[in-house]
Amino acid sequence: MAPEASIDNIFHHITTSNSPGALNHTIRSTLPKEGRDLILASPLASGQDPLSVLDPHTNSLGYLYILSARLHIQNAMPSWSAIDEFCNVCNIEQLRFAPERVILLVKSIVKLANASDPRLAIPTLRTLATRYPKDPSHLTTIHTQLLIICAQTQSFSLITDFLEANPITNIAKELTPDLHYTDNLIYHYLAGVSLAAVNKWALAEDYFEVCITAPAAAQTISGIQLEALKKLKLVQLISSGNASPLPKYTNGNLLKMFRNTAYHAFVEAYPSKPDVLKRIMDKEKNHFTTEKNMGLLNMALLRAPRWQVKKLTQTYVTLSFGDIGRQVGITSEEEVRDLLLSMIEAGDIHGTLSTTTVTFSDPPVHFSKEQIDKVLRAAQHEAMRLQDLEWEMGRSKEFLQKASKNQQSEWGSQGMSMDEDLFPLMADRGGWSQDIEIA
Amino acid sequence: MVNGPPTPPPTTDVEIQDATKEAEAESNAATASTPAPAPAAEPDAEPAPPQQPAPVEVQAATHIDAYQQAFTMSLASQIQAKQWDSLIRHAEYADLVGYDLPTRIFVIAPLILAYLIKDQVPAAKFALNRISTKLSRSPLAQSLLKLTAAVSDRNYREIYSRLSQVPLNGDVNGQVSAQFAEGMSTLVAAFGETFQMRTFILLSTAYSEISLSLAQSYLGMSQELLLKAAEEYGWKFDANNQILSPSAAALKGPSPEPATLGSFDFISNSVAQLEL
Repeated sequence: MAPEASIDNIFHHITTSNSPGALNHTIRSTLPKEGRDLILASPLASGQDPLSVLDPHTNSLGYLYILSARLHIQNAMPSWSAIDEFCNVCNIEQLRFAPERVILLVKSIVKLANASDPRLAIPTLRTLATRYPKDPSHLTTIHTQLLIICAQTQSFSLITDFLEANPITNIAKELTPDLHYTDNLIYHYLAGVSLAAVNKWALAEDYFEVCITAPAAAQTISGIQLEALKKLKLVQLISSGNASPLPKYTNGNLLKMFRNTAYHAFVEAYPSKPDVLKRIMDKEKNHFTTEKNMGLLNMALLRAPRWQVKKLTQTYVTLSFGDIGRQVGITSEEEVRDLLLSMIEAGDIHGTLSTTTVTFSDPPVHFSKEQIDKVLRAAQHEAMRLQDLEWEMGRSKEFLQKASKNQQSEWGSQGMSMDEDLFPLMADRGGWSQDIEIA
Repeated sequence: MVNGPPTPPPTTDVEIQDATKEAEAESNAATASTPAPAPAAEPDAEPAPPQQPAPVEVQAATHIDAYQQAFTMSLASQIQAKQWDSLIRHAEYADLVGYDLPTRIFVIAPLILAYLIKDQVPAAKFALNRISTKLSRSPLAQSLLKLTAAVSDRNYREIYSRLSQVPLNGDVNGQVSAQFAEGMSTLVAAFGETFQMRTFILLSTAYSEISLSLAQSYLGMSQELLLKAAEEYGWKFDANNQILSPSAAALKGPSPEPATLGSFDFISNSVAQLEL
């Protein structure tokens, strides 16, 4: 009979256990922490490879333990296709019983990819980031690793649709216990960088804003937030010609820090003072280059005349190309014509060109049925997401304790109206009393 | 744990050149220690990403490496079927292992042209940035670089001439090169047609009057072809002054489709939401 702390014994448990929780406990209690991976990475006494016998879907938890052990100690390394297949077909519910092994697997995948080409890890990490959380709105450390590799390798097109479809509203600390406050900041900062790189300006702004406004204990400010704020302001200049105000709940100290930077002076002079803009660029060139923002700054500077032209549409109906050139500092009428055509193509202005003039018009008010359906669907989707979030928050222990405290203190003077104010949606769902009891 | 923000991607020319040099050095180091690239995944009708490239095999009998295999097994058929989104997805995944082989152009060139067809110019630029300096010096890569720059700047006068100068072969001899040239020919033609149509629609909506010569430079067409197309789409032509008056009337889409069960379902769901 094989000794208890052996791969054969563990293999037996893996193939006979019906409970992932019990199996997880058995593996952890049977194998000593020291040398656990060494045992898990060894072949069976018969010489067989346990991974060739186990089914990655049925025996997902056991497979995870062995696979992560092999990758970790770099023994009998499985192929990329085997790793990828496991991540695609495994029973993800089983993996959630051993989050520390998932973390180990992810770290090992990143290490393995870095040894040849980091881009290799992108599809595998993307699969895990999609499948592992209970729903796509949860952030894990897998998300952060995925974004770091995508940014390092400039593989933005491999992640754009993922970022578009999966906004983060929750954290999954129980699924990735190594999740840190900065993971949230890094993920949203890099998501903004990735989307800005492929000119998805509006969504990039959203991600930067989430990073900037992330609450922190003791009102501390992270350097990542300041970097995100600099990029957000530049992205806003590029996409709309002016910097929009930040939400009221933004940390005031962060705004003070930003006002002391050269970026603030650039934003203030934009777009109507090209000489000032160029002077700032020349003076701070080294600083901007070090912070890797010269690309965005150059693009903003290049697009400054566009926003000056847009301002003219508020005053004039028809203008000649020559007049526009004089107003915005472009000498060639051909360049003015090309700029106007580009602005019409991008939807920045509306109007019609003739051989020498442009006539501005209001934006068209007719929409197709498909456009209206799309907007309605998006609005409904957002409304449902907000309802779910409100519902979830209303069930949280912290919220209920606070609500209960408030209710007790105001019981005499305000009567029973408190819960109606706090839970307008839940009151209609009829599940409130049951949830109170559970909580 | 990472404690600070990783370096953002390079965006200026200087940054891009520096990054390309660094990438080349890393790629050379990686190539020295790693095997040849992986074969591409099978074409997949699902929107899910194609499978991870498997470890690396070179078909010794036929001397086709993984990039050529990716082209023959999936990209060529997608080019023929004009499935640009699918082509982009498969080419991106086939290019995951960035080995510095001349045959990488069999994947990169279709990818860049597909991005240009879809007017996703930044993605095309980043795909070009990924290739090594050595590969980027090839005539095909150089011509794609110039074409992408012209499209990015909407330099209409240059786009058509640069498009006509794109070499159709990948500077690589072998049995795949004929099939590659055929695929490139289809891609180049498809980009030309798509870009012309996109520009034609833009001119129809943006111009009330345009000189014939200017319209020709925007569309890269001969006078005869342009006048024929203009007539087809209801543009008027003042022959005395050589002025065209574009019209957007002929570009309007088909009338709305009749209501379906799907529409009813959508409306009933919307009303149900209001009731909550």
